[in-house]
Amino acid sequence: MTDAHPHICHCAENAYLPRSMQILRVITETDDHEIKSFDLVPVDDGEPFRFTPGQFCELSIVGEGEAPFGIASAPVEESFVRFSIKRIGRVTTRLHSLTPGTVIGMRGPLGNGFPMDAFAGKNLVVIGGGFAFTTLRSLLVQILQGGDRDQFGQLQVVYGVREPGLFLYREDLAAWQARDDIQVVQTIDVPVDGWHGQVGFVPQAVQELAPSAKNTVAVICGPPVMIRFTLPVLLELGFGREAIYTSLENRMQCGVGKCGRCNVGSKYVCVDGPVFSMAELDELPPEY
Amino acid sequence: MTLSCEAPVVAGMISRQALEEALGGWMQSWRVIAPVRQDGEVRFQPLDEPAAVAWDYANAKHSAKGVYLPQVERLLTYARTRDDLNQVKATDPPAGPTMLFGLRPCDARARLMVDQVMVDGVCRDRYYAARRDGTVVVGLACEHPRSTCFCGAFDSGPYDATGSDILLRSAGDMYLVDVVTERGAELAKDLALEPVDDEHSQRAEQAQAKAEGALRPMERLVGIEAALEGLWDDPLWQEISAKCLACGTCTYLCPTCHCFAVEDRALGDGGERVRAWDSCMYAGFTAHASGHNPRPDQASRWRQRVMHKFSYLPENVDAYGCVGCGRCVVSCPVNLDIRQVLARVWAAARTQAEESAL
Repeated sequence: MTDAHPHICHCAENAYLPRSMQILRVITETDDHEIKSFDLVPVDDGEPFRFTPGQFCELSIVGEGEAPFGIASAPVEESFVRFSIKRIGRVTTRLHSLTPGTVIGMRGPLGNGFPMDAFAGKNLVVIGGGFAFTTLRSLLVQILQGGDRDQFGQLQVVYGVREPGLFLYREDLAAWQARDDIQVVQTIDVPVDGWHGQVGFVPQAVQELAPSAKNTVAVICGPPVMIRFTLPVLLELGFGREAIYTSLENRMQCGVGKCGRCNVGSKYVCVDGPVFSMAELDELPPEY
Repeated sequence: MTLSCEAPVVAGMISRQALEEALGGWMQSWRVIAPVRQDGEVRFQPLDEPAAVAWDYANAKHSAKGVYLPQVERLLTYARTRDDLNQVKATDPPAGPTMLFGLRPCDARARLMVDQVMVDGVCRDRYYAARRDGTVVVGLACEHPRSTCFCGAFDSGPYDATGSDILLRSAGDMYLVDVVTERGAELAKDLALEPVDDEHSQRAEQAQAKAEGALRPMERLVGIEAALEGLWDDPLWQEISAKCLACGTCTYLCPTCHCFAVEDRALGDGGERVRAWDSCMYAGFTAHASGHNPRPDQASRWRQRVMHKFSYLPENVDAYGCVGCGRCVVSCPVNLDIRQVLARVWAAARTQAEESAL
C-alpha cells in the first residue's frame, strides 16, 4: 500500500454484516435492457454513507449471495447511492428483477478509490469504454458538482461504446455536452443512421483529441483490449505510466483482504485497489 | 522472515500423571481440544477425559485448523420475505475459552501465521479474533518427526516454542515445562512443578537432538522469495502441475491455508450466510461471472499457491504460509511433493542466474 492509497478501514464492528438499503429508483440505462442503475437509500437513519469516487461495495441479496460493484454516484449526490449493473450472473439476475421499495444489503465502501488529492491541481483525461463508465461517472460528477471544480484544470472525456443505445448516463452526457468547462467526445464503433457524434474506436478518438500530457493525469476504464490499444497512444502523447490510472475488477468477495481470491501478485484488489496507476501495475504480474 | 518467539523459560518438570490431573482441572474452565485416537487415526477433538490424550502421536492427518478457522462458520442468519432481502441477524462471535492442548510446534506456528492475516492484517476479523483471543496453546514438542516433515527448512524445528503459550518437552518419565508467554506463565501456576534435575534436563536435550537429527536433509527455505522473483513465466509451473487433479486436498489439510468463500445456504424459510474453506486449486475460485478467469489453468493456480505461501505472505505479513508439517505431501493422491516443487524453484532460479551471468 502506497501513501497515495491509504486504506480507510470501515469494518471495525462487523465486516460481514450488510447494511439495509432500499431501492429508490431503477433506471434502465441501455436499449438492450441489460444494464440497469439502482439508486439506493439507507433504511436506517444512521451514519451518512461517505466514500471516495472509485470505491466499490458488495451488494447482498439473501439466498443469492453477494457481488462487488463500483459506486456510480458521487459523494456529492447525498440523496442516493447508485450502482449500474449488467445482468450476467446469479446476484445480478435477481437484482434486475427487483422494483423500487425492495430492500437489499450493501457492504462498503471498500477499496481505495481514486487519489483525489493527487488529482487536484491537474488536468484530467477520463477515458471509458463500454459498460466500464460507472466509477468514472462518480469521479466526473464529483468534480463538476462537488464545489471544487476550480481545483482541477481542463477536463476531457472520451467515452466509446459499440452503438449509441449502449451509452450509460445519457442525461449526464447531454448536460456535460452543454457545459463549457468539460469537453466530452462520444464515439461509437461503426456508423449508425441518426448518429452525429464521432465514429471509431477509443484509441483513435484519444489520438485525435490529443490531450496535452503536461500536468495531466489520465484515468482509463474499459475492456482489456481497449486499454491495451489506448495505452500506447497515451505514452506517445507523453503521459508517464505513473500519470495513468485504471481500476481493476477481480472476484472480490470478503472485501477486507482475508478471503484470498482477488489478489494480483501480493496486492489485494479489494484493499490495495481497485484503483492502480500503470506504474503500480508494472510492478505486479499480469494476472487480472 | 520466520515467525519466532522470545526464548522460553524452563519453569520446571512434571509427571504425566500430574499433568493429567492438571488437565482435569483445566477441563472445568476451558473447552480443551486435544489429539485423541479414534478409528485408527489421531484427531483434534474436545477432550472427554485426560486419559484420552494421544501423547505419542506422530502428526495428525488433519490439523487443528478447524478449531481456529472452522471449515464452515455462520456469519449471519436471514429470513426471506418478498420486499426485504436483507433481513439479517449477525451471529455473535464465538465466546468461551478454548485450550489447544498437545499441538505440535508446526501446528502452533501455523495458527500464529493465520493470526497475522485474520487479526493483524488490514481489517480485524471479529469472528476469528474472538476465537483467537480466547484460546491458549499448550504445545507438545515433537520427538518423532515423520519422513515427510520439513519444519527445519524454515529455521524452525520439532522443538520450536513459537506459537505455544507453554511447550512440553518429554524427558522420559517426566515432561519439562517451558513457559513462552505471559498467559503461559499464568497456566503454569496450575501445575505441580518440580525443579528440573540434570538427568531430566539431559534426557530432554538428547531427545531433541535425536528428533532434529531425524529430519531429512533439505535445502533451507528461508529466502526462497528471492528465488521466486524471476520465475513468473518459467516452464516449471506447467511441468509440476501437469499431474495435479485439482482435488484441493493439500489446501484443506494445510494448517496455514485460510482462503474462504462466503455463501448463502437455505434453511427452511430463511437461511444462513457462512464462510467455508475454499481452495486456490479450483478453477471456480477466481472465475468471474462473465466467464473470464485471471487464473485460467492449473499451472497458474499452482503458481498462485506457491507464490502466496512463499512470496506474497512473507511480503505482506512477514511469515511463510508453510510450516513444513508435510500433510500435503502425505495425502496428495498423485504424490505431488511440495518439497520437490521448492527444490525445482531453487534450481530454476540458479539456472536463470547462471544464464544471465553468461
